[in-house]
Amino acid sequence: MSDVTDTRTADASTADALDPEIAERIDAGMAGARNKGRLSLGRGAAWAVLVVVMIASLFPVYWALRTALSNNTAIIEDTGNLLPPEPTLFNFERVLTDQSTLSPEELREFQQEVAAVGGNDTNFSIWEPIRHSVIVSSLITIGQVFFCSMAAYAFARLRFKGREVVFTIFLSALMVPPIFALVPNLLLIRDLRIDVGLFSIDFGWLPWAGSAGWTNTYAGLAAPFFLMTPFAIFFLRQFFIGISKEVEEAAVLDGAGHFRRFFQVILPMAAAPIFTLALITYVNSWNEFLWPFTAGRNLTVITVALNDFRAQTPGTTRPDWSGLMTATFIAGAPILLLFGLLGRKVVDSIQFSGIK
Amino acid sequence: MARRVTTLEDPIVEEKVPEPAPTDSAQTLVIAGLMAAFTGVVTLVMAALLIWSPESVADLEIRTENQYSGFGTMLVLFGALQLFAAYQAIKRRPLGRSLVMGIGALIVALATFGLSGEGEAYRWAGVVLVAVAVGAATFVSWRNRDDISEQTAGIIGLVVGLVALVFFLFFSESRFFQVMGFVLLAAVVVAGVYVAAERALDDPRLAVAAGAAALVVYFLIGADATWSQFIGVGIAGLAIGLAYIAEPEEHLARSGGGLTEGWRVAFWFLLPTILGFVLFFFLPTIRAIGISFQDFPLLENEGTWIGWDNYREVLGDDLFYNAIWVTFKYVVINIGTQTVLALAIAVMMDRLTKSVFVRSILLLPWLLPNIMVGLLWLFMLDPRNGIINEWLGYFGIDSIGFLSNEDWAIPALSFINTWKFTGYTALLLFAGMQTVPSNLYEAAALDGASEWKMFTTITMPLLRPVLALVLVISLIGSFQVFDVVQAAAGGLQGNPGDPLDETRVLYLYIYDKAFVDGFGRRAGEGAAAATLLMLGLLVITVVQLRLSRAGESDLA
Repeated sequence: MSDVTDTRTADASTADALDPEIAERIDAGMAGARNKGRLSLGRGAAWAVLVVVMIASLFPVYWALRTALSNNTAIIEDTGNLLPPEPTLFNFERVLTDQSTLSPEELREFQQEVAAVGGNDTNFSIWEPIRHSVIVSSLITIGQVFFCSMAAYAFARLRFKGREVVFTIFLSALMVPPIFALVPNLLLIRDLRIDVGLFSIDFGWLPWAGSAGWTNTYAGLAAPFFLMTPFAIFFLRQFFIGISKEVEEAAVLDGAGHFRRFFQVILPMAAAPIFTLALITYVNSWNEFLWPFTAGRNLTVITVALNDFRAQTPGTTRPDWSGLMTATFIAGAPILLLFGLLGRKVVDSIQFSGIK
Repeated sequence: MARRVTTLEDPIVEEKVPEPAPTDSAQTLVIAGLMAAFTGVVTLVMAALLIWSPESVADLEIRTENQYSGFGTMLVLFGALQLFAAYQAIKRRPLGRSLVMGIGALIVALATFGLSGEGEAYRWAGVVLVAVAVGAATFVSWRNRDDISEQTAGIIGLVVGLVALVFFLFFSESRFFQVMGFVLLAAVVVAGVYVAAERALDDPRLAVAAGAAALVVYFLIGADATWSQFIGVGIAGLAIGLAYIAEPEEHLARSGGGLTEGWRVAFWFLLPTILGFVLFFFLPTIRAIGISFQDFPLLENEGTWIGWDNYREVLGDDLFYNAIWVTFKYVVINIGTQTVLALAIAVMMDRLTKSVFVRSILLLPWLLPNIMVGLLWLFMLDPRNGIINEWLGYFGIDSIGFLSNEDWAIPALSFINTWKFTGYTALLLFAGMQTVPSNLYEAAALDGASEWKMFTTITMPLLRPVLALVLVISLIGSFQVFDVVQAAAGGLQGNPGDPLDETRVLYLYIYDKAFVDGFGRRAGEGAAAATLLMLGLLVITVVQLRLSRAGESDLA
């Protein structure tokens, strides 16, 4: 229970800024739960079920880690062992190594070590995809959070004709299935092209454009999410509405214009939700598959790389499970890390903004 | 302009009485009107040439009948608009100026670049039009130079226009400079719109008509639109939309406590997001619908109109019905198990604990990449080395190839996504439950009601709207399953043994048609199938929300 109280104080500001009514009810609910602290058979059983569900949520991730720490030959022989059979850390080294950079002797030596842990000769080399993912996700996060907070400010605080209409139109974009806009978006990104021939120099003067426009460039992979997503605007608008107007009015009396108010009053006061949104955006961009799979086959981000390994690895007579699971675990590691450090904010945000 | 001190809630406090808006002299308006008339006539002549004597413009990159009529319509419409602007200007109505400024530049941009500017005659027409439009903009701005916004727009217009002219005159053979010219013209349009938005646009109907026309034109030529045409029409729509909702300053002042800031401020805050919305959501939607009516080989980047053939093809394709059936099975199993489980977990959390730690753990699977989730379960469900089959073996059950067996594949995939989304759904429902007043439960407990009784008589009825919304969200998501199928069951790159048709969900079917089948030669069919999917989702959403509204929570 101390856990609970802790959160309440830590996040009280966020909660109060949001919807005092709900916060109150949660407090009331907590009190209720506490009063009912009596032990009963039913409650015990319910707790048991909840614990089982929690274990089930975590187990696959643990299983990937366990397999990543194992010798591949040993896994195949000792499938049911809950601890890593013949533990080794070499799997991490081998999936992060780019074998094409090794000299022939080094490569031979390396492959012997790989064979010793039961791996096959796939060149995982996942440093590169991770780097691409980091760059693309960071680009998207910076752009989307900044532009969407501007828009959210306009929707929450400015008064102009057609505000609700425009907002509703924006939200309607949620109804467009991503695959529906996929072909037009690909054409759009691709047509930013230089053909070396005489007639079609389109947007070639843009620094990143390659021969197929922005396909396989960082800019192209980030573009569709860089300016806006309906969710981000919706999410921040909720918070901006809750920020007290007195502070802003004080700034008005100081003669601050809208832009100064936005940067000096609203942004600092909404730092917590903006940070949460940045986190969610980062995770979403990291997880995105459909767009990079379509527009970035040669600039593989981590999800596309995993998909490629999947296409190569199983089906062979002796799958390299430990290699595949190591790559998979590393792909999820940044998410696990971010979530471990900052998960509470995400949980709270779902609490309060998931529905309303 | 009078400096205003506004508070956020109270009506505007005027610091001093606003100066009367500068009125246009008859001379200004006449000159502006003449210029507008000139552009109007030239545009109409261009239209006439195009329609009645296409061979004189044979070097244009026009390929289909539709494009002829598209260009023709566009030119006629804008020419007429421009003449109307001239008429208004001569009649000394303020409408004239906005139209000359905004739409004049717009016509030039569209006419010159929409036609790709390859033809000699059109290039010269373009040069003259640019000169006149920019001249008009500059002139009007200069006459109103006391007004700072007009002045700014005027300066932008002048500089940009001069640069554009130079590009046109000397370098127009190269696409590079045409594109440069286009960007510059776009800047003029934005400047014009900015002014138009700040001043009055008294008759919005015209703007709406022009917007509709631009969209029709876009639809007609959109199939092989190049990037610049694409942006051009995007900006056109944006400009016209903004002009339409622009609130005249005087109205603002009069409306008192109502709308204070107006588009003048909001425009800049919304500009990036509106651009993003138009470029990556709105226009792609229209374009995709356009492609669904075309034979569209992806590599050639242009299509021919074939009417409803794609839809006929898709609706006659057994694989399409197979995809619907597979997806349907998946959705039913996935949504069924996920919702029941999530509801149970939410109730347990509601009664047992508010611990953030518990909730974090439950949420974790939702945050992991789909591809990762697919691979985790691919391994765990493997018939030879998977832990699940190992455990089943302890109970004497023979190992099952969950993801490679035709009957098991869809249930297994449904289960994987149930694992992924149950925690998230439970949190949403849990949040919904917090809005149920706890005194209801206390009263029920005093009456000696059981937990089950409380659940059926209090929680469920009051949770119904939330549940409906959560169902809509998860249904829509569930219909769009793709990544997990791709990672866990082979998907597009499946190995020979993989159950391809048994797991070919709608997304896979569409993707396959659009990009894989014949190297994207059937993108039109893919677009048609995607359109059908979107319509289906729309219907589901509307029906569901209707149904849930019928049973609105008693709480409200």
